[in-house]
Amino acid sequence: MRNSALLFTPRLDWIVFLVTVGFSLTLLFFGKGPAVTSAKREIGGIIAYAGKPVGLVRRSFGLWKENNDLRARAMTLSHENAELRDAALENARLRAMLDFRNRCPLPLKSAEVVGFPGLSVGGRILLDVGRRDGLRLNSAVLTPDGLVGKVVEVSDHSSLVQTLQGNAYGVSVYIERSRVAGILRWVGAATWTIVGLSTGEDVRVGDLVLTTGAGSVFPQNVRVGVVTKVTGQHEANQGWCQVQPFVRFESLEEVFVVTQPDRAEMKDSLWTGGGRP
Amino acid sequence: MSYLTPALIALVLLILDASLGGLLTLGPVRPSLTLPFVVYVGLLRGAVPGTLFGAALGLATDILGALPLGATSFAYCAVGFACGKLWHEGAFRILWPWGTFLFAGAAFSELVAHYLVSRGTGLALGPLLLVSGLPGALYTTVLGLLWFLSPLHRVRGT
Repeated sequence: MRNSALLFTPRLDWIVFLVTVGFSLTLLFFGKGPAVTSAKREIGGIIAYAGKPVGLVRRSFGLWKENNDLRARAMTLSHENAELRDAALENARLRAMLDFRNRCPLPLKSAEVVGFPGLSVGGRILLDVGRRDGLRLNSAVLTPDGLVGKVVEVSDHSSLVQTLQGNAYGVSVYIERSRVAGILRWVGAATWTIVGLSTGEDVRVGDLVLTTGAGSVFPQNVRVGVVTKVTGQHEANQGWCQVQPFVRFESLEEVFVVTQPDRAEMKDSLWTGGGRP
Repeated sequence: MSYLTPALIALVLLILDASLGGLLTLGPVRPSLTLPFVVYVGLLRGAVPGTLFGAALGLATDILGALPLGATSFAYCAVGFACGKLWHEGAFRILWPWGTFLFAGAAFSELVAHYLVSRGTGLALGPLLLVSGLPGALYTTVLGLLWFLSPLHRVRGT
């Protein structure tokens, strides 16, 4: 009995091995019937059901990954959208400038605003063009919207422009509708007025303000702004109407500089649609 | 000798392999989470448990997988038996036998699986083995070694 147990024990592993291998090979070679397929499907269903909670983990991982992917994609699309919007705005702006340039008979030099060295305080902007591009002191600076200012400092490759904001000079202007002339002055934060108007002159809110061309700095009939307020004050020297310029000085990107102001050419310019006061 | 704990672990590994195994897939290479356990049982408990667990886990893997029924069962029971016959518990405490047996078992299992795939599809066995068989065996071995080095691995008596 003991001997047979000793004989049997070392062989047990081989017996188990041979039985399981035989069983596996039998399944491998003959286990292709519909019953086996059905059993495989059923057992697979049971395992799949048991694995459902783990599937939640997998789905959560998938959701986390998908969320990250979507976030990255949203960021990319947002960036792309901003670039496209910027390109569209730039396109519109450049089209307007091109149209303005074609209509304007003056020799213009386009320039890019590269800095605002003192816009909030002194109202100055820096351009990327200078003397070598034909700019001179007092060259007028314009945009399709209207008058910006004039060049106050110029080097070979850059120039400083004093805008109407915080300006230390007056601009000779007139009211388009009534042909009343005066001097446009900056009198405070975002406030301009026309001084030199006689009392009782015909000035109304909404009147268009254009340059007269006097002083040979600014061309004639350049759009400047619109009258926004007419006060009851009738003191000519202090001004009694407020003007809002068309140009938004804080968001300038491209401007034009009149390189060779020619009085004869300026006189009959039609690019504002206005006439001689 | 209680077989309940290993059986439960095997079931959990089977479910994890079926449900989360896809997350570990790298290109055409997918590791096996069940094969290291067969090697573990074979080394730790001997040839008979190794063979039986190998056959059972292989059969379950076949039921859930795409291979013909009996293919993985045959490979796993052979691996479990070989591990049980050639080694024993004491040596399991050392890293290199574990890694060696694991890689040999994984390579054999991949060989059987890829042989059947090449027979079924008509593709050459060599390239198939090189592209996914051996990398799969290496992947399984690396995961097994990581488990061995991790705090999850505790040998009785240590």
